[in-house]
Amino acid sequence: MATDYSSFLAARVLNDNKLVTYRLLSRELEIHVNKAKEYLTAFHESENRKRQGSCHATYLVTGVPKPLIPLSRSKIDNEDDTYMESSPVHPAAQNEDEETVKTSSVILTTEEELEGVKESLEEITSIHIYSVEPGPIKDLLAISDASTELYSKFPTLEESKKLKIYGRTLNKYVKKREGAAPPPPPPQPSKSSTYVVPVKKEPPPPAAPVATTSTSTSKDIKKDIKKDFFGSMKAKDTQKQNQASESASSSKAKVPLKRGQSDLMSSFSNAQPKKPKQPEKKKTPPPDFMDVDDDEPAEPEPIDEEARAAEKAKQEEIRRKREENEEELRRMMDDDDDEPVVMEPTKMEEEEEEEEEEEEEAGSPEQTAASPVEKSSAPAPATSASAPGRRKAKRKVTKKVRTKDEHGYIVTREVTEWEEYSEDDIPVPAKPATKPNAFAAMKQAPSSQKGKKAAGDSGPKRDIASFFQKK
Amino acid sequence: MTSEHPPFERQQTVYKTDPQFQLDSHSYQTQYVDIYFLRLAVLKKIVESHGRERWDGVEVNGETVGRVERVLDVRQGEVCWVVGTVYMDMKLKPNVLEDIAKDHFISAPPPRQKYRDPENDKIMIEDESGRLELIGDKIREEDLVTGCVIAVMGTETANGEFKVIDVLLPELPAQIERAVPESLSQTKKYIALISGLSVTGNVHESVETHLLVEYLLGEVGSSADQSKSASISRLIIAGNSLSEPQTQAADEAAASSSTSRAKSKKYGYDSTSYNAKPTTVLDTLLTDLCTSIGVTLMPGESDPANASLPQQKMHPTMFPTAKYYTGSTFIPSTNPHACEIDGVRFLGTSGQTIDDIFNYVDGNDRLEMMEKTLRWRLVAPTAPDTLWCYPFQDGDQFVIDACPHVYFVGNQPEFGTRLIRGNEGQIVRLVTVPKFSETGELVLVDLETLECEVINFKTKSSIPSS
Repeated sequence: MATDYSSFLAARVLNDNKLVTYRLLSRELEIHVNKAKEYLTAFHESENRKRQGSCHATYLVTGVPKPLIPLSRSKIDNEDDTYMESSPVHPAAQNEDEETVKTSSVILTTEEELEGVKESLEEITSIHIYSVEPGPIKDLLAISDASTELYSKFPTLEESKKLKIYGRTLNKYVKKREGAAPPPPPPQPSKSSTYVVPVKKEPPPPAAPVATTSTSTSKDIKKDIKKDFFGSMKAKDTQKQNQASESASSSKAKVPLKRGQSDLMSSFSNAQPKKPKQPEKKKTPPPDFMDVDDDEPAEPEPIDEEARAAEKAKQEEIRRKREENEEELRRMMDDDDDEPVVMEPTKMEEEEEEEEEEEEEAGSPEQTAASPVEKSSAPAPATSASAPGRRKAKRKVTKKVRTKDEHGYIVTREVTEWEEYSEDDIPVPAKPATKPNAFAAMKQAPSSQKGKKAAGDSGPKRDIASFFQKK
Repeated sequence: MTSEHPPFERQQTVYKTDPQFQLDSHSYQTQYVDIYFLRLAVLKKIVESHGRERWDGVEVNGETVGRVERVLDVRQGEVCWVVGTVYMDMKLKPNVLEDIAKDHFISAPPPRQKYRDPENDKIMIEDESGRLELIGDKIREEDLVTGCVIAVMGTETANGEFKVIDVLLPELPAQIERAVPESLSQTKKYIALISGLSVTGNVHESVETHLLVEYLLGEVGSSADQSKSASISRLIIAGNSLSEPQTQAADEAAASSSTSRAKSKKYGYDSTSYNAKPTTVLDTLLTDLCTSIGVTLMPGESDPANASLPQQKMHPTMFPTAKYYTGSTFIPSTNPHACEIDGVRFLGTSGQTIDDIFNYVDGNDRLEMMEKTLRWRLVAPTAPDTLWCYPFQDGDQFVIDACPHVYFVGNQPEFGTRLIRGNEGQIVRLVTVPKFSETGELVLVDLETLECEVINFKTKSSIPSS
């Protein structure tokens, strides 16, 4: 051990010109601090015996200082006590309580100052060497450097088992907590937002051709959403509305439609049922919730019985699929319903879809409401017959779309979209050609009622439509 | 080797934190006025009972002293006594409205040390009914501050002022009996108090701080010193463990290093200016201490905690390694901090309370101010007038219900201690804890005798005279 420490100290102090404190020595050699102090003293002596001044030391002195200042403290207190006396309740017993406070000092000093320090103390409890360094140090701050270094070299946490060796005061009640700190929580549940998107997409899937496209689009949407996954609160709302409207249109709307259709179908010629349906369509296309739109264009008009049957089967299947999807969606929605949905990308997509679909069905110019057909197998013939009068037209519409981007700013963009509209909106002249006015009015009345029932959300739009129709 | 140096065992004490100053909610939506109502509601009863004892049936100039319920019920010429909250109308006291008005004209004058201006100050007493100005030498001598609840006896003058003949305070609250052993036991137990470590994180951290840590850990000195240090069962750090953020210095340094960088000045908080050093260093020191000694860490004025009293405990994330000892030796606590150690009740603040009272009164005797706060039964009487505080809704938490045995205040200019006695035999040890960074002093309180000791950490080096 002896050679150990002297060689270590020689290397550190004499060769590297470094300061070694007793603490460092105790850590390096894993010995008790008091032992380390002894070693340092021995080293200091032996080196200086070899060559005077080759090694310099700082000392730590503890003891009781000669009383100089402490007495004055109590004096101050006494002076002010006059106030206290004057207060009636206060006992005047205070002055006796002043006591001289036991003071002790812990002084770190260089070799040169050691004697002076000793003299300043009335009673010396202990003197020991604190550190050894190659030469006189101008500033004791060097020692604090050494202490800081010690901490970085021997982190307390890892050393905690060895503390007994170093001679630290033991405390058996100290319990170090086990385990690392829990990892920071993920910043934002951004993932879930992707789930929601399909939700929106799904409800629309109605038409056969759409089914394929929808999957691809939903992927696209996902991408978009990743871009601005924060989404806007508005988007959230609209999404909810959307859902609502979807469910409304799918459940409520279907029933009235059927009824209306059957009535009209049975009583009137093929051409007529179209018109009542038309408003239905109108309801679906409202720009905000374009989902339902898709169905309709998808609806090709089967001309003959065979085709119709095939179509029916197909649609049946689609419907089943859709229901499944919806089910799935609902589950997802339950999981996280506060996920924002980005509206415009989907909108655009759907628009495209629509166009595609249109191209697909290019042969049949007229669009009948798909949903009615789906639901009730009966009306199919009507559609084909009514075709001639009907035209699905598109117009360019500039809309303002407001979203929140990932920085939380609200961005308003003008988006040009193709909006589908039907002749019913404009067209008074067309109708009279086929029907007497009164008749048309009759048809329209039920249809508008239907509309109201059908969807609360899209209601206002419908109203406007019916307003135009009346004209 | 171990037989040569038998290890010392740290003296153990039972430590119970009083949750008095913990806030459950952090709503700052409400008004501060409730504090005064709540305070008056609690303290009025106490002062009234004192008043009845003292003034019932007393005659002044042949007139019997009567009690008046509300401040505004005082009638001219009648000798009576009334209870209310003191309000000090001081021209020099900071006033938000004036500050705003002045803001537009001149640069603000430097903050004053004292608000006191004997010529112009008015002392008023108020309750929910109104205010009454108090005059007379008796009340002038009292060294009152805004917020304390007192009873005054006197008579209303022709000018509508109340001439005070006698004053009563709530006085010291009841104190739990402390088990004092017949004969002093051989093993002493100490609690160490310290404040104002002011860790800066500079490369040259104060040597004294390191000496302090080594002393408390029992590594420094002879075995006599080490056994003494082992008898210190707990260290209470009364605030200002970290120094004031030295942003100015940093700014200057940045400006001198590169003037071009100043262009990209950011509004608000600039995260690049964050310096983790002070907390890291403090964390290292605390971790080292926690391996052996219990540490209670109170936040102070310059510490990263909420600025308004009661300051809540500093967040454990600031102490990434020391936090491993929370639950055993490391106890972050609130700023007015109340606890019970081996049956001895401690109450302490990090100094803001007394510093603020210092502005109101003449003189420098901080121990007397501490005593006053105990006799007013308020830890922070000047909150919320001139001291930031939380708008309490359910009760003024600064009301002292149980008289402490040791009452300490950190970050004071110098060490001081005094023993005070209450009317019902309460004995309280008052301690002003100096800033360690300035004085290098650690205060030890003997848990049995309540006597204090001071340990001074110093360095002495030969400054080479060139």
